[in-house]
Amino acid sequence: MRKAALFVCLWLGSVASAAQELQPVSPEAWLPTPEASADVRVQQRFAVKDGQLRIDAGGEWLARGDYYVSPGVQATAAWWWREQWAAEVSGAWYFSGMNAAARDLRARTGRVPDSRRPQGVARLGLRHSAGYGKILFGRRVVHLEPQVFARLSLLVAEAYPSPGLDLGAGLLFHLKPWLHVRFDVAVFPHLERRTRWTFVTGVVPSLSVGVGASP
Amino acid sequence: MDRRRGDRLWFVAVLGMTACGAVSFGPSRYLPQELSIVWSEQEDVTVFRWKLGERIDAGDVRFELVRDGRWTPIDFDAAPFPSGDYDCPRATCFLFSLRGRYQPPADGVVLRSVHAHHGTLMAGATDVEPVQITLSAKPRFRAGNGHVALAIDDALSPANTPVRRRFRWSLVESDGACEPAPIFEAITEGVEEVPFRGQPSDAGRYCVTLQPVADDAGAAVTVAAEAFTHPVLEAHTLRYVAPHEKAPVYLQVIVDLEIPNSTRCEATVAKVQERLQPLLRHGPGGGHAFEPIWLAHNGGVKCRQDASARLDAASLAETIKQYANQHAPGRFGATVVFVYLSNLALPMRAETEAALVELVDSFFLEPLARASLWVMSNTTARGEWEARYFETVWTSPFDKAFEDLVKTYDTQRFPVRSSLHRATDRIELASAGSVGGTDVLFKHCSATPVVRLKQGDRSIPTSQTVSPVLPGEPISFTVDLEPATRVEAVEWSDQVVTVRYELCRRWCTHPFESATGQPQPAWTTESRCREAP
Repeated sequence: MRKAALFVCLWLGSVASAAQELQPVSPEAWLPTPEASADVRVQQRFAVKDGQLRIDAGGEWLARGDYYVSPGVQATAAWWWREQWAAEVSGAWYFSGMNAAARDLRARTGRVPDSRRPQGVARLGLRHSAGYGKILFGRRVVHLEPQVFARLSLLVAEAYPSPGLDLGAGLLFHLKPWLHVRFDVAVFPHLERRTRWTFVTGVVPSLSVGVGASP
Repeated sequence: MDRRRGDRLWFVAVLGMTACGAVSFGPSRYLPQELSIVWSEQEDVTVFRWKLGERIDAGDVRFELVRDGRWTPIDFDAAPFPSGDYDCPRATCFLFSLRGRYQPPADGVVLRSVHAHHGTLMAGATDVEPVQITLSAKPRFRAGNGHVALAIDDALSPANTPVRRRFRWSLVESDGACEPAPIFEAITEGVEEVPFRGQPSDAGRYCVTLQPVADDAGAAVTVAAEAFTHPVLEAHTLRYVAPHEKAPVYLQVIVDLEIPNSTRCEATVAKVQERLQPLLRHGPGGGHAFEPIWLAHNGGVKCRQDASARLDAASLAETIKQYANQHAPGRFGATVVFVYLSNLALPMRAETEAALVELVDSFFLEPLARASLWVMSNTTARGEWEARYFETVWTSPFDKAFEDLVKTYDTQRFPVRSSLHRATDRIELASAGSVGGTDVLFKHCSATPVVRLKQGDRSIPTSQTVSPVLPGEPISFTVDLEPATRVEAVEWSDQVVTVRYELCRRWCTHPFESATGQPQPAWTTESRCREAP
């Protein structure tokens, strides 16, 4: 399973760039033979985002090495003003709690980490769809897009604001033309006021389901 | 290691390599610290005090106390006296009171905090400290006797914070024995003083009774203490300016001009005399201008210089001295101003110069006159000459510049003043007549410069704090001042003595408060005054 996913990711890059440049596609042996009169066959996209508002909801996990376990729920609204570009606003709410080691130390000594318990984050930025492809997965064709994004973020931890950036990449899988599943991984460098101002880097994987519609 | 656990570790390791940030451990802001437990033997109440970190939300945390071997939630509202959180420096402080003597468990751990996110945190082990007295008061009347400051010392009120408890209070006249009064007038409301209405008694002694208001309607201790009326004080400041006299100016013009036209010559000298008139306004009765001395009177012409002319300094000085002895007022007499006029660009003749110096110097020891010289000529001044006398270039009296010269000379030097103060002069501060009574006490507060106090003919020793104002023996002072004789205007400043003192008219043996509200001992025994120096 894991090897198959890795293979898909590696293959994805070439497929994505090919799809963007609309180059002639070499027929494979297992595909139907193209009609002799056409040198190039371009298939319509399965899902078109251009001009659409897409709303996502799902879960994410904030990992900062801060002695807190921080799962959360998140929602994103993205406005795709072009097929490749979207402006998006996103927010997440965390259900954080100390991990077992910190709880044990607190119970025995009353001492706690100076890192602050994450409560929520707001983000504002751009998302870029770098390609488009489809793969035959078993007997099912999967349509997908590799994406990258950059956002300004404001994390709130114990009522203290921590400004930062949110940079990452993801895969968007089209289940229907109006329905998708998205998996993102972001790196989240930010400043937090602990005993003193501290530079912190977090990693935020997320999985969400979204719908899209033209207004 | 099974496959699923391996996958999870791989995931955590990837996140861990990227997620980082320095973390240090310290006491939780919700950890109860500095817990103290005091049992009041006087009130049979146990008081708990502790603090959490600053910037916490006190509403999100609750506390539990070990009672009868079990953790029991603390209900601040059920405490007999006001309890809960209060402001304290760099922390959030809490106070809780409990009736009776608290018995801590064997391990000494009696308190813990419980917070939804920060968990349960135990305070350190603490013992109970018995204290005999936790409530007392030192009431005192405020200045003006309109209010009584209660000055409550309450162990249930944390140090440096307002009194948290409310008190029933009463204020009754006392004959020396202060017994708690069973009937209260009112309840204090957050202020530590109560009003006093009506006229104080002659003795000025009152008994103040206080009883804390218990929120659980339980028993409360009663304390009583005596309060004394505030002395009736008056602050006075006497500003003594030493008397002085101004010397009149006697003016003598010596004409040594070269003006061939006699009419023009006399007109010039007359104008000079007119321009110098402002100098004569100084002193009581004004000054005097003598007839000009015509040193260049030659061949019927008054302004023609003659090398053989001589100024008879001795005779001129004698004439002026006789006039001064007859007319100069006051103790220090007059100032004689000689004005020598020469309009030739030639060096002053040696004989003339010597005569002028002799003229001025002849007044040096004269008791009723001093002389000064203004030389107006075109000769080059010598150093000594310039230092001793006022010297200007010849200027026509018809020019505006001449008037300006006179104004400068006048404002810098005149009036010449002399102080009339003597070290033996007595300046009265308080007498039975001036203070309007005989039962008045006097206290010296400060003086600049230092003075010597006297009562009648007796000196008041410095060790004496207060003195009664007695009929026929006014309280006065003498003072040494720097001698100031014949001081020119630019160097003169009034000699001022400032003496501050207080008079007490009633309840002088009672404690008083300073102007800043600080309590002081009895006014008669305390050397300080109510007003700060």
